[in-house]
Amino acid sequence: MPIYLKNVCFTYQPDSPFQNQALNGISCTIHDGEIIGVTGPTGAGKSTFLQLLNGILKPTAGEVEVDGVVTSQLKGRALVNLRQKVGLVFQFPEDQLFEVRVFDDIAFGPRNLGWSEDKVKRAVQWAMDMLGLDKDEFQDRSTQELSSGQKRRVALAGSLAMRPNYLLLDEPTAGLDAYGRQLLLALLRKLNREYRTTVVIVSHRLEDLAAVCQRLLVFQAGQLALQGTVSGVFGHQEALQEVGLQLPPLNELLWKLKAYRPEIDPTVLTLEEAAGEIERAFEVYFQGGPEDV
Amino acid sequence: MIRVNQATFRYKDSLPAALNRISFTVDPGDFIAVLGPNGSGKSTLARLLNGILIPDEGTITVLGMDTRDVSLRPDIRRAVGLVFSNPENQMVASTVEEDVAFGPENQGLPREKIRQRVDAALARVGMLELSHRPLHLLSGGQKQKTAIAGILAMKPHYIVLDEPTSMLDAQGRKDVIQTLLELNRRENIGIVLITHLVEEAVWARRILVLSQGTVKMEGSPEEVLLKTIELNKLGLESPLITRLVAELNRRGFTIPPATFQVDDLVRILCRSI
Ligand SMILES: Nc1ncnc2c1ncn2[C@@H]1O[C@H](COP(=O)(O)OP(=O)(O)OP(=O)(O)O)[C@@H](O)[C@H]1O
Ligand SMILES: Nc1ncnc2c1ncn2[C@@H]1O[C@H](COP(=O)(O)OP(=O)(O)OP(=O)(O)O)[C@@H](O)[C@H]1O
Ligand SMILES: [Mg+2]
Ligand SMILES: [Mg+2]
Repeated sequence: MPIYLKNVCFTYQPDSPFQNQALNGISCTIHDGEIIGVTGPTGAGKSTFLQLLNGILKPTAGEVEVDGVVTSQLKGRALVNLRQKVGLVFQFPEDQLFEVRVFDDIAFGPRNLGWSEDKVKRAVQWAMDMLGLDKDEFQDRSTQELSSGQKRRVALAGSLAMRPNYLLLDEPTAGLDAYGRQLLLALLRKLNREYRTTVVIVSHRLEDLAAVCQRLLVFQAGQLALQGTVSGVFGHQEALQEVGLQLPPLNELLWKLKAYRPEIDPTVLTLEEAAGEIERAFEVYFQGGPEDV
Repeated sequence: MIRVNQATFRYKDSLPAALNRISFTVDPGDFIAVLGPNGSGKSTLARLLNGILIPDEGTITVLGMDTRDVSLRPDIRRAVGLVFSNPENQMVASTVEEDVAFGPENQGLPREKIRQRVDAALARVGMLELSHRPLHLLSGGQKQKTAIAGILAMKPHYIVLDEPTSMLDAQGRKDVIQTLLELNRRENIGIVLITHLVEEAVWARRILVLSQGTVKMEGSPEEVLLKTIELNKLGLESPLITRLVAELNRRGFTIPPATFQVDDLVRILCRSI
């Protein structure tokens, strides 16, 4: 089911000296089975937004409807049920590694779902494989005695193992090496394609969002500044700059080249496409020079 | 100078050494970027450089001080500032400005001087406005900026930064790199920048590539970042613009392969018009 936000506001520490309105009048829909990216400058409200989507935070005004229920009306068991369907991976993985053993940490969610130990084992094995964590090497290690990228992988594995219908990821590629990043992005595509998992990714790296997302939401100072398809948003270079964001290197390059060669499309998403744009616009000058034309 | 000589470090006997006979030096005013896959030993190296960890074998000396000598530890920590990869591990006070003032206060500086340093450091990372905010009420990027400011305010001889920009927006990342380059060039502060963003390593004078606890590649950005196959084998990538240049050259262009930055490629392509 889609996730609906209607006029959502969120204020931290209301009626205190540190009262802080982090989100203001957000209305949007996250469609069923889509991969959507969320970006915006530091402090824009992205992590707050994500935590509203699984009921950890409840709006101070407006409504969030997830999986057919309005989160502000949920209590106790119903809230727990929702969190099992909506997996959240925090911005700092340390914030969610509680168990000592890596295996137990990844198994925590599945066990809470009441799965048989056999099913739990298979789920943990699958999640570790998917994130490039060798089972023999890591399952008995302590979660506190890992490198930061290894912790990130364990945190991700813990959420994935539950096979949630909705997956909320806060800066999931931060701290991963290039190989781990590719692995994760491919995995998200696969989950989305094969199981129609709805995925919401918060990231400062627009190239990661461009690689997997169908749509983008751009936040600024607690408001939705821009939304649309990835190419659509990348077509608004000035608006992005005003918000303080930068396009991925390929698109930044193409926009700069467009000033000289207006026929260039600066919104393409892959390296091959970018090379194609440049080739069409510049090749006469490079291959044999203009006199050959 | 920081001199790392055949340093080996093991967290536990049951695990392989996190670092295995590493040797290199960081000269005064040097700028070294450290790349490497997850678990290759980068953060361990960072902790060895300022004496939080002590090598099991081999030695590390900072300005001639051996990190094994317990009595020198305060001086070593003052000489080498370390920005942790998780800013939460570094926070010691309750508000932003108290946290940034912690280092200079420990150095016994006069109040006025501390004030100046704190304000300058917070301004550099764009956190002046939030200086009274309690730390637990900050966003991820705001925490990371505070952690960086805390080290800047100490004015160490060397700054070691462990993935300092992983939670920052594009502007924040640019500001940090700009600040590091300024400190490096104007104040001759030695920089060791650990990063997964190969685009940041381009700014360094030298790059070290770690894998499984040993130095696998070492050299200038030109020497290291064009070895795509070798990097890929280690689970790493060359910069996106460099890969684009390689693709264009495959299609018949003749662009210098050591082109790392967007603006350089724009200049090269547009000179041809
Ligand atoms: N627990 C809290 N109490 C009060 N204010 C908070 C709290 N957590 C965050 N804030 C503030 O709310 C605003 C939005 O924070 P949020 O963490 O959602 O930002 P973000 O977009 O995720 O930023 P980043 O990119 O730095 O992670 C920021 O100004 C932040 O300082
Ligand atoms: N406290 C610890 N106890 C035991 N082993 C540890 C501890 N911290 C790290 N390790 C192990 O030491 C090795 C090197 O870890 P280190 O944190 O230095 O890697 P890294 O290069 O910083 O990786 P990342 O890119 O993921 O941050 C890893 O295999 C890790 O699992
Ligand atoms: Mg955040
Ligand atoms: Mg590390």
